[in-house]
Amino acid sequence: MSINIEGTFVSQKINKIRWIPEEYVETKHFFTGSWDDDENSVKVWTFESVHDDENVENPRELSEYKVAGDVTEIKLTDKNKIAVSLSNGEVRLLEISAYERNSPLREIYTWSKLHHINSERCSCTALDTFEGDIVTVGEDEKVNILNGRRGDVTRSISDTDSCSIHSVCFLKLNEVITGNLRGHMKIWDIKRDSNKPVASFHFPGEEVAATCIVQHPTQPHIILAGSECGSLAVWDLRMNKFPTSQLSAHSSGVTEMQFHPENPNKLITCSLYGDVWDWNMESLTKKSGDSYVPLDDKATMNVTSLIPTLHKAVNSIHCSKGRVLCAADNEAIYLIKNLKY
Amino acid sequence: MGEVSANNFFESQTIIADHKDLIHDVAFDFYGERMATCSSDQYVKVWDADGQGGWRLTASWKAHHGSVWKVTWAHPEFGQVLATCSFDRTAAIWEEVGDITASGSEKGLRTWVKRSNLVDSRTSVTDVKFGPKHLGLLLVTCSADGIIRIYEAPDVMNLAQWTLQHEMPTKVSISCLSWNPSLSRVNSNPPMLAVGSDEPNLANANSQTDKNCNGKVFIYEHSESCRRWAKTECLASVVEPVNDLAFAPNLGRSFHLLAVATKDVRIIKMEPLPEPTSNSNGCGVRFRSEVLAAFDDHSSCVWRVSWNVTGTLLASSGDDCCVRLWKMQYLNQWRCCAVFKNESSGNESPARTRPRTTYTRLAAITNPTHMPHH
Amino acid sequence: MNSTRFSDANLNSHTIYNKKRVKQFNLPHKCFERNVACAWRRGNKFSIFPGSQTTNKTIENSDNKILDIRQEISLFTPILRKLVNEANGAFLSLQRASDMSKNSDNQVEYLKLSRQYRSIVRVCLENLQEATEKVSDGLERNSLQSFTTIFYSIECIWHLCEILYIDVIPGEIVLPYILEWVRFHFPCHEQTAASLLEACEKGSEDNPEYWNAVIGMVVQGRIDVARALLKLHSSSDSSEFKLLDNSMRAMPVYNVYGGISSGEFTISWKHWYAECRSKYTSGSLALQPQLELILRIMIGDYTAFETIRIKYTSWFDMLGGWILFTMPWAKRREMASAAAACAGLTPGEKTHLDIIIQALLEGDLHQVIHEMQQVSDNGWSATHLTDMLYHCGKLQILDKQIDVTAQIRDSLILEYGSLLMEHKSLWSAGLSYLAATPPEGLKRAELLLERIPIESEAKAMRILAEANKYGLPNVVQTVCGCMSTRRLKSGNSGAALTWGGRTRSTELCARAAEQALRRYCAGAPLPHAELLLTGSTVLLSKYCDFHNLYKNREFRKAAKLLVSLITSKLSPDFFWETLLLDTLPLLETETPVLSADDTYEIMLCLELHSCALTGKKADMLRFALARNLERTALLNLPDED
Repeated sequence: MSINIEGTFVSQKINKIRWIPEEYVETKHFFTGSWDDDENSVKVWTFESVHDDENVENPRELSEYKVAGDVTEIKLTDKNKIAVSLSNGEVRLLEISAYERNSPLREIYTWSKLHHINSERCSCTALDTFEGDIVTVGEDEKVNILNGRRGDVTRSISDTDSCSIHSVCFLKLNEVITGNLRGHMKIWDIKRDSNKPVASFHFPGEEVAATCIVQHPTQPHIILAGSECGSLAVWDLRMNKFPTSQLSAHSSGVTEMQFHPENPNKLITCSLYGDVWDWNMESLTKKSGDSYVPLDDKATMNVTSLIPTLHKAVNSIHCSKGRVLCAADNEAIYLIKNLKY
Repeated sequence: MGEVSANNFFESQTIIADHKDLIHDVAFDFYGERMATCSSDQYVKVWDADGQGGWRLTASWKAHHGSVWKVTWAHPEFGQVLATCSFDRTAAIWEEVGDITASGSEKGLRTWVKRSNLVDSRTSVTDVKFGPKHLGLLLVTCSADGIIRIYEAPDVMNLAQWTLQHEMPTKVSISCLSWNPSLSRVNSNPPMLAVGSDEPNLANANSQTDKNCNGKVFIYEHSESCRRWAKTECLASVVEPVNDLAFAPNLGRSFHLLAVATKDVRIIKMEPLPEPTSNSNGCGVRFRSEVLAAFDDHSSCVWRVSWNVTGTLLASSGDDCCVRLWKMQYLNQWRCCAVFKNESSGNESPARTRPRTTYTRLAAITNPTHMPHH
Repeated sequence: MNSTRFSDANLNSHTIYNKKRVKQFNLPHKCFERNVACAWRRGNKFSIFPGSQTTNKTIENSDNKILDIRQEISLFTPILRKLVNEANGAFLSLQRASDMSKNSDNQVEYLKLSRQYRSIVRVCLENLQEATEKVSDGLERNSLQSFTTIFYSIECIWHLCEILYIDVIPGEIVLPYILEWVRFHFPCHEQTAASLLEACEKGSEDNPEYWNAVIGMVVQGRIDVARALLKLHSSSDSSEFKLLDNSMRAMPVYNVYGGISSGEFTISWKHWYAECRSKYTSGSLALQPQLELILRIMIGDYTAFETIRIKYTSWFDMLGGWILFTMPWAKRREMASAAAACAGLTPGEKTHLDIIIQALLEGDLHQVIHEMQQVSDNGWSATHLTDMLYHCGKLQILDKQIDVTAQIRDSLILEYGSLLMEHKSLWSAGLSYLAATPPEGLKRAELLLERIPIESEAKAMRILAEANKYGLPNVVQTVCGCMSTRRLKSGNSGAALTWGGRTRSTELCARAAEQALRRYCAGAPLPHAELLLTGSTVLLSKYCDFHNLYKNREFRKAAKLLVSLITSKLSPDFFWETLLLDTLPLLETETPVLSADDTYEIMLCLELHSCALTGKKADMLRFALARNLERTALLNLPDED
């Protein structure tokens, strides 16, 4: 079956879109988080077949949870809970009922004013989760570690007199990596009582913000970061400082990256330019750590475009098996079906 | 099939200003998210948009010892800065200071500090305007005795220090000022100011008119070579007292548009002429000006004119207590598109009890055309 | 009532403009009785306040109110927003298609996009209907219903416009398309006809709607259906019925691909017409008035159409029939007389839709556009339809002999784009409209884009990305400048430097660097050295280098750098104390690192800036300097590389 795309206009710019994992059946429920509007919300949706036609699925809204501020990140902490970060500096842990998907989201914890500059709230720009722990970063140059089980802030690191942090990723239980507005990547040991990073390196070339970071699912020493100008950098943490490769990829900012959960050689990225790409990363990750190969040409990477370029930014993607969700600034969400993986 | 045109409704929301006397000016900041008001009660108030369509009072202070005529915001690149001018013969610079007083900011109140008091005028200061941001932090004031003063803050981080750069006497009472906003550093046009005079036309006024021009609108331009401001033009087409004037933002046009509030609402087109070849001291004719529109709908004195951000809509108000909106059509034609007026039927709108009704639809008084019919 | 007319100078050549009056709105508070003034906010928002430029103590002033006013924009309701975004996609595709086809004819692509617009409206209508069924609130239902009315009209206008100007029609023979249009948008009697045919009972004339349905089918050109219905009449076997049926069956239908020329067709049609006419004049159907009426319709008898007019809501219902029975060979540019004839069936005032449809048929696109602008969709349809026609090359509008086509199209797009720019979320869609109409669009974009409130850095970066995309360096500068200042005012000089560096503004960087140094003097840590890789913050970056050297115990190098900083006289006044005191530990190292010459230089600076460093600290430094001079006077310190 060939790739099939269905779009639906939802009257909200969606900043984050996430499948709700299912154990035995094909995923059909998902979360969206909106941004840049007078009213923003986290919504739960389900796909429904129209006119008994198995092939046409339309999303239907199941519930809405209003929030004050833009949704900046949604990550699952377990299969029914999500951590949501907001541009007003808050983080919320929300739970969806496993059986009644359309019942309202239940608020478990709220960390309000987690990020602030002096007494003014500022944006919590990103978060990541690791076995119930949550790491959040913000414009206030702070890294906070939250305990999703107890609801407390276990650790707060301030990277003072630097600049705002825009991306974060857990490397292991006690280590996180952050990327800031100037493209500086820093690794923090969250168990150590120090405001100094254990390692730091940066995007080569021009000063650009690191907009997203992912860790390779099977080779945890490999880190990828996407930048504001569309480039992708790959670091081998065993020999950090200089990226093992840097690719000028998208023509404008990388908004999100995800390794396919079933195939670690498959990377999906999306960008401000309005494209969604499917990368074959085999050549990149198979390399042994000691050979630096500059990959300036994305053709060698075997990239395919998954959707015709949209006129507006694609903010978020999430894939589950052969189904990829995309959310864009044209206030539409797209379901890509029959992705080979 | 029913009617398809019920266009152009407006919604309004009432803010209780709570000034104890006449309000003289309302000014919005660059983003339209903050509003400053000033009044004869000598107070200045700052209101912040609450993000849900309403306004919240965040500061209110006694700013002067006389009526406060005008309030104006500096470009946000210079921080949160206001300038006011008053009957007390001073102009003042105010800056909002960070949340030093934590208790205050918790209550949602903010502190504004007087950074500087400009005391050069010996009469009431009638208008104050910050210059275009590419010129640095500039401020121009004018006063009833006809002196225009240009101040500069050489260090934009230090608002306590203002130097009086230029002083230009005009010999007539000056009521209003407008910077030409469209001149950027890239083109060679010099900084430009329009000033309007409200000097009454006396019967035997020939003595005071300067040479051959008895106009009420003057154009001043800064000459880079002489490092001074000089009057380069007097618009002969405006001879009645002027209460307000405003340059429209330039949208890449080859000419400037100036709106003037005088006996009528005027829109004047000023087209720069090629550099005069003969006259080296710049006294040649600089512009060809043309009155594009003169609307006497206010049928009396017009008090204020103001442009929207893109200069496509002009609002005017006058003695007839109407606010009129003028819209530019293609080919630079202007027409009135709405009139706002209190219909003295005493229909004070009932107090709203719903907490979040921010906007209610304004009732149309007349909507004579296009009544539906089948 | 009080209303305003234009002064003569602004009269448009079109007579219709003269009648237009200006709407007047009531300001709901007494405080506006004596004074009003107005101040603009962003977009179409402004405030009206009881402003005065004089102090007049006679008025009771304590009741001051400010009215915050904005235009009501129906397009911003969630249900219509889909329309905005989806149409934005179609609009951009159209611009792209037109760019690609600068040289070649691209009608097929345009037709596809026109259909896409229509399907967008159709989806919107379906959503509206669905929502209307669900909603319980009366007020909301009313507004949904009025949207439905509006978009039904738009769909109808667009469809006709597509037929007359966009579609590729073989031989330009427009009749089948007009009939299809009538059937689609004005499907009256269709259901009656269908149910009668389904029941298939003789004596169907007992149904009170029977004759309406038969005539309706005739007028819509569904002759076969009409004949089938007539067969259900109890006396369908009578000679009158047979007579009419013969005429109906014999009616020639033109088909471009039918193998006969239009001339041949015209001859056979005229022949048929003459036959029908003689049947009528002979009075052979006089005993069956309904059948006679049908025959009269078939011979294009105007009075017959007048008779049935009352049964239809509008004159367009009969347009197809009128063309069918009077001029079936008409080309699409020849619709004016038909339009006038049908419109003439309706005396009295015309609705917008009447005017627009008639103007479309008459080919007066200027009037169409003018009337479309009155439609309450905030310019959605006027803008997109005008743009469509413009790209198809079908628009040519003269105003006082000047071709203003491009101006009208641009001004509509500019208005619509500026309107969207006001919206918190739809600004990015608005921007793409403004970008499609340079140069004024980009100028407007610049003014509107830099004024979008920036609540977060993510938003700032999005605005920067858009500004870079469309080449608006002034916006980049303003956004970075405002962000830098904001960070500076909240005491974060590192972030202020970053934002200053983004726009390579020496001014902003210098401001931030100065604050960093001041804060350092007050005991705050220095910004991370990494911040200073770029920018013009020479002093600050060198000073940080000095610290790093000192930290790494490279005292000789550190000393050299510090002396160069001191002698370069780059330092602002407030920083002299720090610089001078930094020499102290270097003067007291075990092995001397500052040469006698260096020491002289420092001594000189100390005396030149005696106000920067006074009292005990100055004495201490003087003492240390003297001691170092003593131990290095005869020593030649080797130059380190």
